[in-house]
Amino acid sequence: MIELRGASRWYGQVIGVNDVSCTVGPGITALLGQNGAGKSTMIKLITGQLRATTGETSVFGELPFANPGVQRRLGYCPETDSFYEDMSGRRFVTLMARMSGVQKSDVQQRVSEAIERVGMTDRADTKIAGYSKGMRQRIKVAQAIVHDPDILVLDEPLNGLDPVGRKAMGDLLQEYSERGKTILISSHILHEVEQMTNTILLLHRGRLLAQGDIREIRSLIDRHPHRIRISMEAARTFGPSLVALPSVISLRYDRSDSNFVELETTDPDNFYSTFADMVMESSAEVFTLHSPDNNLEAVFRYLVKG
Amino acid sequence: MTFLELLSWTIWDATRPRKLVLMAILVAVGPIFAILISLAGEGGTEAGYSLVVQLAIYQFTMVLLSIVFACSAVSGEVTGRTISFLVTRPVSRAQILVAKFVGASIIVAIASCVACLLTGVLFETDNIGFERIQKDLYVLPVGAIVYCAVFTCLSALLVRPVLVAVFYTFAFESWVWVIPGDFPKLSLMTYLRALGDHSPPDAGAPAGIVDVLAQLSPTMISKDQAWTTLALVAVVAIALGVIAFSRGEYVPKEEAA
Repeated sequence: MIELRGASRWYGQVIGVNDVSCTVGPGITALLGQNGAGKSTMIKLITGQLRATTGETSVFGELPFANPGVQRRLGYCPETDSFYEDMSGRRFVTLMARMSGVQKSDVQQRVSEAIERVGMTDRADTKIAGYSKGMRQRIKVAQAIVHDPDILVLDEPLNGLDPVGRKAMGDLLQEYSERGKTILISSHILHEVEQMTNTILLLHRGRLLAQGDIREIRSLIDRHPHRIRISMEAARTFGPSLVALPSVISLRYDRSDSNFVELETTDPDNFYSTFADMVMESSAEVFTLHSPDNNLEAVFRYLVKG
Repeated sequence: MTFLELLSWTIWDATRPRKLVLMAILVAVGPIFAILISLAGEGGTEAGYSLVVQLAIYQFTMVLLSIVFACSAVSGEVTGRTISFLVTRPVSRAQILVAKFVGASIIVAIASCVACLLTGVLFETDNIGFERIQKDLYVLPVGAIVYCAVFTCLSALLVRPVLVAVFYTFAFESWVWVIPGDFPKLSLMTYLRALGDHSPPDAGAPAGIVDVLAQLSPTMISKDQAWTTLALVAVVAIALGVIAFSRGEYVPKEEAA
């Protein structure tokens, strides 16, 4: 449905995407990459806002740039937070619905359904200027789904949403996916999209670094030592028990902070479950626990070095 | 989406509170001049009326309103970062641009005519004759259409069309009529003056070298020439704008890469 063949896009001397070839079919596909990786440029190529400098982008076998035939079947939720601020959410979605080809006789019902689907019925008639970031995000999604497109392209749609909103968004996208729609969702946060899909496209500095099943990439990452930083009560007394775990390969204390310990593990999942049991048994208080390697940056580091 | 729906939206978009306030201020300029001149006991002459209407309405209110409403047709959407909502819809870009141009022209024409009418009334219509004002009420909408066409075109072509528009209207058009030769023919205002039977401000009363130069080769333009030129400029400008907008990539600078 969506196909890029050697697509590159330059902004003068700056590269947006570089020789990207991929196909996106029905279901949810996550487009992952750090800020500035080229996600938005790739989305703009797909939605027909930009032309590829070299290579080709096609949607339903046609070039998408200024192509009403393609755009009629495409729903787009931009990353930008800008709106016609004096409009109400309902009026905005109505305008977008009419511009997307929804018939006048159906428009009210379609708009109400879309607004209800994103949980904005209560605030739909107030001005967008008064909306919170989460509400703006929801209205953007409503205008993208109002004409029931075959392809839904969402640029960072989870930004500004609370956990409940994220769950609702996930459910909405799953429902669309089950109806055979193609959904491309961009994010720079790995775990955000991990719960929605296993299919990913990984962009780094404009290049497509990896594509396919996220679990395969995860397992590759997990084979590398993983740093975990723990701040907990009596970290030093807990240390020997931690280093005795088979998955832990090294451990380091912080001289200035007796509550801090950093360890390296080759099997993070195993470590997390064992550590949870240990904490429960000892009733020690854990203040913070995080892994600097358990994020997208670490994935890139690994893939680039690998 | 019908063209009328698109047009009503563009008019709604163009008449948001902040722009309405600006429009009210610009419309008030001519009438304020008329009141001041009347208070000074200089009201009621046709030459005085012509001077005020030319300077305050034609060259200021109409031109500035055209800049405000037409220059933002495309570039306003780009800087406001709402352009992506428009260009990803299955509506032809030509239709969007023409709707924006027509919307801007209607607003500018109405506001300029209101300003002219108020100015004329405050300038003691009885002495001037309503026919004189009526002539301007026909010409101002023509001016609104032509200027809006040119500025809509600039809006589709340039990132900052306002700078070019302000330079053309206030730096070039305000002074071009004093340059000898055919330079005044490059000014749209010259043709509007010909249609409205207005002489350039100060013509006939040379006071300095600039005025003397202006008298050396006065630009004579017939009404037919004026109609043809203005119509041609409007059509070419809109056609160029449509071509540029249909082929252009509009991504806010901060979003690029």
